[in-house]
Amino acid sequence: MIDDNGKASVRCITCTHFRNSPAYLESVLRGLNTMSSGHASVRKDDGVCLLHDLYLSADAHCEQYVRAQAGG
Amino acid sequence: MASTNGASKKESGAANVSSMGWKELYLKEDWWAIYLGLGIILVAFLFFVSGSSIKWIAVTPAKWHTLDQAIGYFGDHIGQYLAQFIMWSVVFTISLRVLGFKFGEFFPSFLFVYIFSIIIFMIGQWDQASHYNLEPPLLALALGLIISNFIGLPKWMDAGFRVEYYIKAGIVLLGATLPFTLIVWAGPVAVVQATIVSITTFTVIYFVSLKMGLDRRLAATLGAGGAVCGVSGAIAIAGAVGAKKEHAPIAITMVIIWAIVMIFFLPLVSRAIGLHTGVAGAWIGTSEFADAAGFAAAQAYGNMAGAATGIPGTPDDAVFGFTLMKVIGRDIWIGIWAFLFALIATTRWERRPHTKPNPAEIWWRFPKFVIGFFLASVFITIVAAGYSQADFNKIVKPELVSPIKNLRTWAFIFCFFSIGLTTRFRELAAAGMKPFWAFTSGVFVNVILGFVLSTIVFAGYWSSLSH
Repeated sequence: MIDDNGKASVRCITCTHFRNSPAYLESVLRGLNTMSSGHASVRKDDGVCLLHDLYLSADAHCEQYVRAQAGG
Repeated sequence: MASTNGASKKESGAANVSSMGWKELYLKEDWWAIYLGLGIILVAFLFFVSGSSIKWIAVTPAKWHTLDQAIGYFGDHIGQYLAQFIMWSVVFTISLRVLGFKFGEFFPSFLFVYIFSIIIFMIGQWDQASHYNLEPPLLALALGLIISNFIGLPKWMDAGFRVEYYIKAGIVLLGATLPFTLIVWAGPVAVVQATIVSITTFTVIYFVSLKMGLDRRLAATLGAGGAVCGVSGAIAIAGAVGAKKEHAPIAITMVIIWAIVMIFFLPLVSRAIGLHTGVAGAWIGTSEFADAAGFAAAQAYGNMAGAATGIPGTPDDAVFGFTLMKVIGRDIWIGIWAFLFALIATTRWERRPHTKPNPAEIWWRFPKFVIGFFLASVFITIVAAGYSQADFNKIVKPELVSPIKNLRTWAFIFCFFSIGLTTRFRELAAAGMKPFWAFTSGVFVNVILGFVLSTIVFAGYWSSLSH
């Protein structure tokens, strides 16, 4: 499946286990907003995989991918 | 598709966002810093070419000797401060609303920041302030640390304590005061010096970490934090290598602690040995860990220059030296570091899940606010080219450049105060002794090597910035 940006959508960004909102990241990566920001360009779309407890690129993927429900 | 601040039922405040792509033009604060900074510069220019100036709204406290003078001056200009507050509130509110912050949280918080910023700025204008080391950057940081760690403020007020946004906007405004010719002249030297220190520091931290048995992803994250770009460097590399969730907070803790130490250590040591402000600025640029902290240190030291202290150089030399070293020498390369480590992680390390690194990462992770910085510098350099040096100093500087510089100073004070307000030591992640010593080993190397390169090898450049 292809997403709005023309990329294969089996990626962390569309997985139900992935979280990458700036507000969420600033709450779990303690100190992030002290000398950086969840809204910074350097972060790109990186986020947290709740399943594997990793902080990684939104373009990653794995065998445990589960497509997120719309609106969730 | 969830909004940036929508909440899932599983975690409060947690939500996915779609892949950003070019939506980052309005969803990343770097771009808003460009719009804000270049917008101010453009408005300032339009006023200038129409025979006017924005200096009325770019008001700053005047030098004073007695408290009555300070209060009197403030009272005489209270309308200007009010107008300036409204200006800042409007521009920040618009951008931060788009980024997902609530006006009801940002506005009162920013009012708090602005009121204290006036007080901090005014104290710094006391004619005895330098004698007591009451430099606004240091004072702002210290006051913020006291408030956040001993008094406490509600968490929602973080909406107004946007350290990175303020410093990025300030850096774009700084571009308007830094001639592009200086960037061309000293930029290559900054890149060479910064590269030597960055690679050396990273190597030390990385291999000491491995020697201590730390995970190589943590080692890389610590190394990036200490060598490249502080917290931003740490999170960029952490994401690129697929680090464990706890690795980034560990590196963030190390960066914050040492960055705050260096805000005080570097200027005070520089003062003790009477370093030229440009040389000290370059040293701070190699040995500080974050832009915000580094500007605090550089501006604090620059303010100490003058006949009374015997410190050679100008305040601008310190800030320019730091900017060249940190922004051009280190920040702009973060995308390359991230791409290289993504490549190493996927081709040499085994990890899950797998990512195919794309060279486009270099662009997407590029700290875009630097584009605004360059554009501002080019723009003002072109404007200045139409004037003789004498006319530039007589006309352009007071009517166009100085007001922009004043607004930059305000943005920096907002930033320095916010650093203190958001540094809650009890809330920082526990790092453990091994990451501490691995990172600290890099700090020692960084500080010493940066000192040697700045004060000996390339001193000629850094002490000649004004020329």
